[in-house]
Amino acid sequence: MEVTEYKYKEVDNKDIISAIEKKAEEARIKTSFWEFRNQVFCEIDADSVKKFCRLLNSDAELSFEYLKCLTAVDYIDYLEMVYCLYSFKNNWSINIKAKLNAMNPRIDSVTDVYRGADWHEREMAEMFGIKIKGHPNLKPLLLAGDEAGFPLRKNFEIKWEERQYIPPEKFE
Amino acid sequence: MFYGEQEILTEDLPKDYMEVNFGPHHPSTHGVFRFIANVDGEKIINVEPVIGYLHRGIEKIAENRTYIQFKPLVDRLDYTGALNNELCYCLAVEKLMETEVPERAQAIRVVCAELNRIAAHLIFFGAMGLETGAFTPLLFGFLDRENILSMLEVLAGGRLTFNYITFGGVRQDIPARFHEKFEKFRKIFPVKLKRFADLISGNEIFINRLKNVGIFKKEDLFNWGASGPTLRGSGVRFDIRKVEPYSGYEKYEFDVPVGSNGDVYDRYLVRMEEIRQSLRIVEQALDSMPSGEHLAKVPRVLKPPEGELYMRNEATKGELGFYIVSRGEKNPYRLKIRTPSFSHISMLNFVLSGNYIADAIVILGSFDTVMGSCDR
Repeated sequence: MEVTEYKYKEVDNKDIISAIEKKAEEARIKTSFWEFRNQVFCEIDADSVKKFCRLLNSDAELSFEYLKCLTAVDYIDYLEMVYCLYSFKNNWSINIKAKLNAMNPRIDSVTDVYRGADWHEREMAEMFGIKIKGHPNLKPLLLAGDEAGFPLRKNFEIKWEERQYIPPEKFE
Repeated sequence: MFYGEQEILTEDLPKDYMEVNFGPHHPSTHGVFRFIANVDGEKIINVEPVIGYLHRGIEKIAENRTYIQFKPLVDRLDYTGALNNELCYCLAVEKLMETEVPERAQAIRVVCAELNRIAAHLIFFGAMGLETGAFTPLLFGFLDRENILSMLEVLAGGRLTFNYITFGGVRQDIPARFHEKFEKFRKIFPVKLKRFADLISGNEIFINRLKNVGIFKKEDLFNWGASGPTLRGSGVRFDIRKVEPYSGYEKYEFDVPVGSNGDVYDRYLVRMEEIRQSLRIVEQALDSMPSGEHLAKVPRVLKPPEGELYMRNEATKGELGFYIVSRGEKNPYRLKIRTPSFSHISMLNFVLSGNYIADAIVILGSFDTVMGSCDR
């Protein structure tokens, strides 16, 4: 088996943005970029997430082969999916964000592109109630299945168990 | 006639696979983990992992606590390498706050994180021996781990869950007794490592058991999100300490070991070599320890500015990441923990299908998963 070397590379965030913007324009995907704490963020439509991920993964120049993290955030008015991708070849990272409707959150599964997204998406489905279209196996993963609502939504309240301190009875 | 009829009957029956239930209380699963395997004879057809027995809802608890209140819980993710978890969480919050950590604190962080990595890999060494049927490595591994834990006890005050690294540095400076203990350890440990190599790594039975078992291709590992020694075992020289240096790792000289074949034995060798490299880093860091403060001045109640980021480090099992969303409040608005064990167990069906059931235990053991980190 050949050894593949990955060494430290200087990264300029402007290069990442310009390279992805060019490819996205060719594929007619609307993108908007910004930077925060030296990390690149990109917002796209929820409908084009799968197409965009496939583009980033399959493109030889970009080669975002690795899904670092997949998560969702509840902003009460809307939900947001976050995909953190990484390119081994260029040492590039990007965080892709897509807004979802809070009442009826739906998004395409990216398991065809990144198989590692399988369990992450299952977790998001049970924790946020996001309907993930095209996922092969959407069974509950971490929870027992007897919860009312979705635990990581903001409207889900933790019911702390009330414990009363009962002093021990005195011996007489 | 009777016998003939019976023959027809058995031919008509659908071919049924035997269902083997493995766990949740099995020593080879490294925690409470269960998988249901459909087997055809000795071959595994498919595997259904069942997790969640240790789910504590840490991400939800984080939303209801302040940043500093949540820090002790981070230790409970991967409890074999707790300092690496703390380091990653502190780095993420410091990056949000734009806090500068003093150089001495960075060096102390490197020392304790690498010592913890050695301790975690020694558990792997012991468990790998146990999984192949040898009990001696477990005792050997735990004996040397004990030395490291007693060193960390002097340094941090705890043995398993430390709560030592804090925002802006570490909680206390290195005491003189730590240096004394380390000087002893430094002399003995390389001898012990050679003994491990003679006893286990070069053992013919051990090698024959692990060679050419569970071979992974690197393209599959990229796609499944594998990281750490699992990825390096398949010939990918990738280490977050080298590629995205944090906490001053760029100052130290160390090699990143890789495997050549991608089997269980390679992943074992990668981890054993990482122990040596970690010891090298600790020696360098202690010999060139800069003077100065061990803790920067940070406000008592942290209120990071509005924003979000993903911070990762090389934990003992692979890539550990924190995605923190802050809205300028004292609690994190959302905190997602990406753990290496979760990604590794998710690929279990893909990896085990087609293998023999006897190999399943060593393949699962070669991931070195910790269920506390998987279920969160």
